[in-house]
Amino acid sequence: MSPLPGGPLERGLREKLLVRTRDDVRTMRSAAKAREFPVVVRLAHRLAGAAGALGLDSLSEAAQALQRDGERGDAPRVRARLEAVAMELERAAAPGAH
Amino acid sequence: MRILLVEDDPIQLELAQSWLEGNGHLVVGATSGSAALKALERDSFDVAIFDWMVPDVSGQELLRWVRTRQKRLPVMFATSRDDEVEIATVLNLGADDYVVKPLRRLEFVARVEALGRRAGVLETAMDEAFDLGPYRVDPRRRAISLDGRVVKMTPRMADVALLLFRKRGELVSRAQLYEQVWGHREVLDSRTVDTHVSRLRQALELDGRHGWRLSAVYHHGYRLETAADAA
Repeated sequence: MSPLPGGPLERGLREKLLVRTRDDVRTMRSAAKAREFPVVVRLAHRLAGAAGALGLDSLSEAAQALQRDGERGDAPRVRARLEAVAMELERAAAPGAH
Repeated sequence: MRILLVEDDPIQLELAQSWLEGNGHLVVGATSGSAALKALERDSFDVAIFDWMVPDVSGQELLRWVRTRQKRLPVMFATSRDDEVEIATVLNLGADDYVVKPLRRLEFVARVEALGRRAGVLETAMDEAFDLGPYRVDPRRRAISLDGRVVKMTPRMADVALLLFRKRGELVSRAQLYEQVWGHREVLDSRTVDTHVSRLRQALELDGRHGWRLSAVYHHGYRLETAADAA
């Protein structure tokens, strides 16, 4: 795996993003259960932008897919996409990933 | 250039801000539409960048506000996807350009600067000489005068001075100075920066006697501020 770009600022922001996304995944799971899709869409949109800008492309792509299915209000797909986001999050947070 | 950057996500805002500042621009960030409107009312900008999905005041409303009051301000939108309808909507509403998220450093900075060039504000904003009390700062000549006398400085000192004068009132970290003046992303030796700043303070007499003081911010960096603010 090639190292991610950026200096101390980018590294710090990636750490911050990973911590925040753990909370966001919990929030999105509750929102999806309650069929509050706009909440899922807003948080997925934010994650897609931040992760992509910080070089976490797989996490960004998973979030974009979640955002799209959230906009369609497709509950089963939203649940599946959310698990994919959670998985990518753990990958990105794994030691040595960045 | 003086840039207004509206982005509700503090992480993306900080990142994009650092990219633009890394290229010598002065960025005012806003995390909501109402904060952006306040900034637009009290300040002037060369370019504005709006996220399409900002809370409280939509990007569309922000653009309408700009077009009725500051017709010439170049506006770029950051949109969430490469969707033809959304992009057409943004441009039809009067935006000058758009960039698709996630933002990528090189493309983003290049697009913002291209917009500034098209609007004729980039070169003038970056190169125009300006006065601050008895100081005259001339980026084109890389020179600073005090009371009409050009102060002798090494080119490196001049670059540090230009950066601090451009960012007057703001905290400039050692890392920022190191990256923008020496071109290194990591601070290899912070004493290098400290020595240059110390010499600069002496040469330009930035100790408050001429209304400006170059203050050290413990563990962070430096701030060029008015003597009144520093007191």
